[in-house]
Amino acid sequence: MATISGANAVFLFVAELNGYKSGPSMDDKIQYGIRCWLSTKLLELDLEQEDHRKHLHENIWLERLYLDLDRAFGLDNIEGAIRKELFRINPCDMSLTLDPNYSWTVPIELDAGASMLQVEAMLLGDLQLATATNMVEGPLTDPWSIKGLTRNQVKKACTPMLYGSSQACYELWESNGIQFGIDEVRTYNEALNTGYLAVANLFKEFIINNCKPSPIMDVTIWGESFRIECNRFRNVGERTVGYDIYDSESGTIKRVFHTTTAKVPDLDQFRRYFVTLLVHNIDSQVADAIAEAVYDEFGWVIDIHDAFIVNPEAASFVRAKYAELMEEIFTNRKAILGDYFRSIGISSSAQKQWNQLQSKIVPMDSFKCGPMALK
Amino acid sequence: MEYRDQILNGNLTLPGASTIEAKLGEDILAKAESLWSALWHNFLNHESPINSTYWYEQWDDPKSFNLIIMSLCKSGWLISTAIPERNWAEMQLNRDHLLSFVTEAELLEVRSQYKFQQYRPRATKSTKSDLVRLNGKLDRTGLIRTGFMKAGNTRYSYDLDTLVKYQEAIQLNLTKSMSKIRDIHPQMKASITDYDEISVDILNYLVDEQPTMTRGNCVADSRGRAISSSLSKVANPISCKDFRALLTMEQ
Repeated sequence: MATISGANAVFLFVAELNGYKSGPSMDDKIQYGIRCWLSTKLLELDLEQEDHRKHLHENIWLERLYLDLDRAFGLDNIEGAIRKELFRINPCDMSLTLDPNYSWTVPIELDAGASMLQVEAMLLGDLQLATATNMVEGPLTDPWSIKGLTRNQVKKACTPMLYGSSQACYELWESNGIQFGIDEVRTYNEALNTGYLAVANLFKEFIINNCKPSPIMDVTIWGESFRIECNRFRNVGERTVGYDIYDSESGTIKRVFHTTTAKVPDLDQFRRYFVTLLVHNIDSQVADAIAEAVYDEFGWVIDIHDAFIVNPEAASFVRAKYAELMEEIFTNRKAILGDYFRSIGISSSAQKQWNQLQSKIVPMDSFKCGPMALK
Repeated sequence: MEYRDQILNGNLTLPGASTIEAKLGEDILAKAESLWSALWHNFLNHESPINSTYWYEQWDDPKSFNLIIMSLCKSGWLISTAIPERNWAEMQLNRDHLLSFVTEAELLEVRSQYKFQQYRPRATKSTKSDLVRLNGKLDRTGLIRTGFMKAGNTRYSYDLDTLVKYQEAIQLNLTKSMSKIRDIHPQMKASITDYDEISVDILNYLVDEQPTMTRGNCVADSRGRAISSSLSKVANPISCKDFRALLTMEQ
C-alpha cells in the first residue's frame, strides 16, 4: 500500500541521490525531490569513463525510483512536457493522484548523517554536534562542510582522525590521492580546534589518553557486557624451529628451519581502539534494534552499519525508532559513559582533562531528535 | 565412487582412507582428511600449494605426518617439496596424476564450477546471533545481535530490465580490480577460473535465472558491527553499490 508518507520518503531519497546536502528544511528537500522526479533529473555520466561509472548506482536507483513514483502516481504514460506542466500547476499536492493500492517495488536507503558525531552528540549532550548532524529540527546542514575545504577533504581526514588515527590530515589526503595546499591544512587544523569538531576531537583524546588497556578485558557499553582482546601486537624476538618433512623428489626426509616472530600485545597502540569500540558498539546496538523492529513490522530490511535499506512505507517508522534510540542514549548518557569509563580503567585522575572537554560543550537540558537525523 | 566421478563432482575424497584408519586409527584419519581437504580446496581455488610447516605444527606427530605424506606421494597423488637451502617446505596435489582420470578441459571446468558455486549469491537461512570474529577467529564474547540475524532472512532479487540495460557498465565495475591487475601485468594468462571470469558468469546467471537471495548469516566484529556472510559473494548488495541500487523487494 502506498501513502504520501512513503512517497515523501522516496522524494527525500531522490533529493539525496541528486546531491541535496543542505537547505532550509525537510519540506524543501521533499520539494526538491519532487522537482527531480518530474524533470527525471539524473547525473550526467559518461559510462565509458571509470570515474563516472563510480556513480552509476545513483542513476540506476534514480531511474528505478522515478518509474516506481510514476506508477504510484499514474504518470507512467505521461510525456515530459505534460509532466512539467503538471508540476507547474500543482507542485505540492501530490496526494490527489497517488494510488493507495500501489505497492512500492524499489527500496530506499536511510543513512545516518555522520553516525559517529551523532552518537558523540548524545553521549556528551552537545548542542553543536547535534545541530551539525541534523538531529535538531531546523535547516539541514552537511556535517562534513567546512568553508575553504572540499567535502571529500573534510570527510577523508575527519573520519579516521576522530576515530583515533595518529595520521595528520595531509598524510590522510596524500594516501587518498587528494590535492591540497598549506592553506587547506591550516583551515582544517583550525576547524578541528573550534566548534563541534573540537568537541569530538577532545573526546577522542580523552579516551585514548586515559584508558588503561589490558590484553583481555570485559567492557560494558549501554547495558551490554562483552569480552574484547587486544588486536595490536609488537614483535619481541624470533623463534627458529626445525621441521623434518618428506621430500618427494629425493624420496628422503629433509630438515627445514622455519623462523617465526614472537609477538606480544601492544597495549599502547591498542588505546586507539577504544573510541571506535564505544561508537561502533552503540551504532551497532542501534542498527540491531532497528533491524529487528523493522523486520518484525514490515518483514523487509537490509542494514549496513548505520544505514537501512527499507520499503518506503517503513521509512517514517525507521526515522522514529532511530530518534527514540538517540533520545534514550541522551537520557542515559551519564550512566553509559560512567559504565564504559570504569570498564576501560578511566578513573577520577582524568577529571582535569574531562573538565577541559566539558568547557567546549554547549549543553542541552533536554533533547528531542528530529527525523532528519537519518538523511 | 570412482576417482574420475569424484573429481568431476568436485569432491575428491582422501585416497586410502580405510587403510589409514585400519593401520593408524581414527584420530590420524581425521587429521589426514583435514589435510587432504585443504590440499583439494587449494587446488580448486588457485592450483596452489599449502605450507607444510603449518600442517606439521597442526598435526603434532611428525612420524604419522610423514608416513601419510610419503604414502600419498608414492601413490602419485601428492608432491611434497622440502628445500632446506630456502628454509621452505610445501605440498600440493599432483596435477599430472589428476589428469590421468580426467582431461585438461574437464579439470578446468571442475575448478570453474567450484569457484562459481563458492561466489554465487544465494538464499540461505540466517540463524546465528551470537558469533563474533575476534582476531581472525570465531568466538562468543557476549555480543548478541538478533536484529541482524532476522534481517539476514530478508529476501531480495535484482531488477532484471535495469540490470540488462546497464550490464556492460556494471560488468566493468565488477571486474575493475582484475582489469587493473591485467593492465599492470599484461603477461598474466587469463583462465575461466579467474575471479573476473567467474564474476561475468555470475552476472549472466543473475540475468538468466533471476534468483531470489538473502544476506544470510552475520557474525559481529569485536565491537558489535555486522559482518555479513554475503560479503564473500560476487554481486552482493552490501559491497557492490550497483547491485544495491538494483534491489527489488521480495516477500
